Amino acid sequence: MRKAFDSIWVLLSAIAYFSAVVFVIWVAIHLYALSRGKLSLAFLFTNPSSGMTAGGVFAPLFGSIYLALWVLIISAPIGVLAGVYFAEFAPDNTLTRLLRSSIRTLSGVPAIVYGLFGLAFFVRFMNLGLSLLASALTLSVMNLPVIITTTEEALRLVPNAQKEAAIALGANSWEVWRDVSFKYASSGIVSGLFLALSRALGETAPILLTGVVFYQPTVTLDPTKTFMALPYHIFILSTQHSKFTEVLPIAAASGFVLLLMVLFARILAYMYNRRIQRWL
Amino acid sequence: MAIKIEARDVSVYFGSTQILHNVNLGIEEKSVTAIIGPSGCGKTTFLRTLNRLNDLSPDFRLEGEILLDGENIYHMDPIVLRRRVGMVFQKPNPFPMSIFDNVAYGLRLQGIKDKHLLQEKVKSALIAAGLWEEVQNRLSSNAFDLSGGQQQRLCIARAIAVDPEVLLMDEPTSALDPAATSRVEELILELKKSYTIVLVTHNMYQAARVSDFTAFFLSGYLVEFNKTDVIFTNPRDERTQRYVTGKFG
Repeated sequence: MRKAFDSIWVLLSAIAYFSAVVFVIWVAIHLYALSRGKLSLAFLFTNPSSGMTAGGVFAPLFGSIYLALWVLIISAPIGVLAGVYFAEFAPDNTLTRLLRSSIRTLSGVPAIVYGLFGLAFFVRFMNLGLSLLASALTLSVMNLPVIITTTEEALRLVPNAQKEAAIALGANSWEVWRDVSFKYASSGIVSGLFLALSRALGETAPILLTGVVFYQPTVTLDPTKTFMALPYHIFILSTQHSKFTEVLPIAAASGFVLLLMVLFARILAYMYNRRIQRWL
Repeated sequence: MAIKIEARDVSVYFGSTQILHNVNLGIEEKSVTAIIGPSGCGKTTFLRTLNRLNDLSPDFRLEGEILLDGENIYHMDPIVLRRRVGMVFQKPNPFPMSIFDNVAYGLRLQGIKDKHLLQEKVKSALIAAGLWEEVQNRLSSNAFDLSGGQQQRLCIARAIAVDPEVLLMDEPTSALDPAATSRVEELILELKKSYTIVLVTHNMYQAARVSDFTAFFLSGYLVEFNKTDVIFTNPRDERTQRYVTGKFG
């Protein structure tokens, strides 16, 4: 009886595991099939044209990557440093406990609420207008709780014996962080950053109200301008376009590109972890 | 012989709990002083007051004073203090770096960058720790590849590479097998020619084998402190007598 139960338990978890994998693969294959040969290198490097019924995804792709870069520049230093503070230096009192639980609550707030906040605060109040910067700031605010929490948790797993070894040799708190804590925690921190990055690439709601536009086939490095982004491009093509059947392959191909980008971000994170873990 | 470290009326609290009660103790230069006592008697806490490692706990508080060469260590910069008072821990805790980088770590913290000087100092620390023969051909391999006993000797090499005056050892052999233990004990006898050693151990035989002086702690009080042979053959306190003869603890 116990043995039978044990086998069922193993079987159930195996089924759950494989169904998750199968689902991802199925989405990829399905998107690829729907794209009907639209995918090519040229698709990545040409702009949408003829009322978005032809061409590629250059402007939305560039917009998404450039947006993600800004999100990383804004949220990584603040998020990681805040996580360091909570893990290493914050006193344990009512205020820090309140802050910590607020941060955890914030990571459950729906994306559209962040979008509304971004519209009210960055676009209107800070007068940034509809712009890539306003969108990047909104996504950063949304990502901060994730980065702070993953950083804090990664740092809490650093073995105390390692920190004490460095301290006993006369390391100051910066040196302990640089030589021990960061080494041990960096794979966790980097995972958090890439998770945040994937969200920045994939979210639509926060940028919808703060700067993304549906058609602007010129790319610019100026962050005060509006921009195109892949998820919104897909949304427009598949729900707002009058010639839906005609643009469906383009939408599917764009979806496939987005999927590849998120996968690429994951592979980078994985390679970094492998490199770190070899020494641990 | 001169007194290297002197504890004067030391009481230690963590929050509202008192861990050590009015400890008075003088540790002689270039000798091995063993601190023995049952688990929870405060021996490790006492050891960690000597390099101010307890300072890391936010609710730690110390009364009384601890003097290193007559100077109150709680008025010193803890980083300067820890360069003079090295420490070896209960479990070997090498860094996830190469063998060379482990030993060079403390030297690099002091700003030594010269390659030849580093090589020289790493080599002499490894020789002093009795590890050179075993690792000289693989200084660049990961320290985690060494056996437990080798790792502990590496940690000793790392501690003495920066040329401390005092070496604190917190049950340094408790995670090692008997052969590795006896190697570390031999090493301690060798090292006391150059360093003042304070050794916390729960192994009475180890205290008897390697130490010159022994302090017996019980429930946060220093019960008795004397030459090791006196403690083990003719203790004054009945509780010491009972502990060293294995009647409790």
